[in-house]
Amino acid sequence: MSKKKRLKKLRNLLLEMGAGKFFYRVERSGKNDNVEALVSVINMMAEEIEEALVHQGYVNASETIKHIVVMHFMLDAEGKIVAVNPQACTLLCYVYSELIGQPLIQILDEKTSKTWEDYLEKEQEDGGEHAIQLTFKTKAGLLIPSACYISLINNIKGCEVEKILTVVKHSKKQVALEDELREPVLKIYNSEGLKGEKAVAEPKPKKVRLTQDDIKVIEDARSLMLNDLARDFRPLKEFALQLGTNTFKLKYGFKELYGISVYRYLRNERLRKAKVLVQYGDSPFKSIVQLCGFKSEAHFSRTFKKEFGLTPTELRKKTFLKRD
Amino acid sequence: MLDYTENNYATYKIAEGILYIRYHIGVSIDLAGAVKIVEERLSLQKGQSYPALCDMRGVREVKKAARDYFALEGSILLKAVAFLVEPSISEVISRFYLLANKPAIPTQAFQTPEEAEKFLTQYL
Repeated sequence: MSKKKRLKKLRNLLLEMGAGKFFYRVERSGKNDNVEALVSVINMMAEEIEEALVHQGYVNASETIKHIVVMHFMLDAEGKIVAVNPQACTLLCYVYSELIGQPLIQILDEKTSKTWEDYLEKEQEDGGEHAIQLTFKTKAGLLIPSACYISLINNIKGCEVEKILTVVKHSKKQVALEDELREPVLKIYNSEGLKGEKAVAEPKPKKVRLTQDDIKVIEDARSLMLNDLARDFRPLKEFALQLGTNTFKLKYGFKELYGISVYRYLRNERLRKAKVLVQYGDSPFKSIVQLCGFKSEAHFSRTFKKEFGLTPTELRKKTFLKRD
Repeated sequence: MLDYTENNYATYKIAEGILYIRYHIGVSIDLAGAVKIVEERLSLQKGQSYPALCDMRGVREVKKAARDYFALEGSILLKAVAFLVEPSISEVISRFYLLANKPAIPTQAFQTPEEAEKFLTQYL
């Protein structure tokens, strides 16, 4: 691919990002030049933003409007497109008639067409629902890596549709945002028109409001815990003070941001590290207990068994046997 | 002791207290790949910690899920990591990773093996 072509694709990608669509990617070429480095870094940036968009929705779930952009494909037994929703045509830059009757593989990138072929070959055996990762290629050459959910529909007479493939994405769409914003305003306007009646907006139970600084502090808390699992972080009050925040913000803010409580997060990370050390290390359990901040060997063994269904000794033995 | 191994992504070698990981030319790493890469490394290490020289000049792409995995699990049983990079792609990937993922152990990028080894000797 020439420099000019790649730059044009980059421009298209940036335009799409400007319009709030962060799920496009630029196809990589085999080159190792400055343009390719730029492509690589912008692709990575798009990945981070796409994730952050979902994540931010999580942080302020009562505020942010999250849009779900969906592509639906109805496919026949051979994987040819029987029907497709207009949204998918828009996202892929094709007109409806160009897609109907085409095998799905035509709009996949080279790498994932193989995944799709393999899937078509073996899916019939077990039926049911599947999730696979496919990368779509738009007419303009941009890529859309997507988690796809496939449902099989069997034995409907006279219906050639055999499976439905669905793609879910997040996006910000200004028009829809305005519509939703407009709604309560109109209500207030209308009710003000009626004399004597006041527009009372029901106060919703407020969630913890996190400023950028709060988020930074909570992220710091996470990385401190992650890098020092051996440490005892109780009481939380002291940990919060060390971070320059209060227990309330740390406790509820952490839950808001990561969807998990501080202690549970700590427990999970300790177990995760312990598991790797048990499986691939040969250090005695006593030192793993210390390294990962468990109270005692008995406590460690109990928690471990509860989580993984095997005691540390059993897992080490099993891994050892497997390796040999 | 076996001190050499290889998979689809990289070759691994332990020499003079340093773990050398050399990625093959043109590899693109997704989550499944990252898991395989770390697993292979851990079974070679047999529970020992090493400083690692990671020659990623051949790497063309590291997906987000893989970057997150490396930052979290990738540092287990490593004392420090020196990336060996060259312009343009591997250099930019390593810079992005160091800025965005903030790995837990001392990690730096170098353009020559000598500089990288010099950095690692303090962790031997």
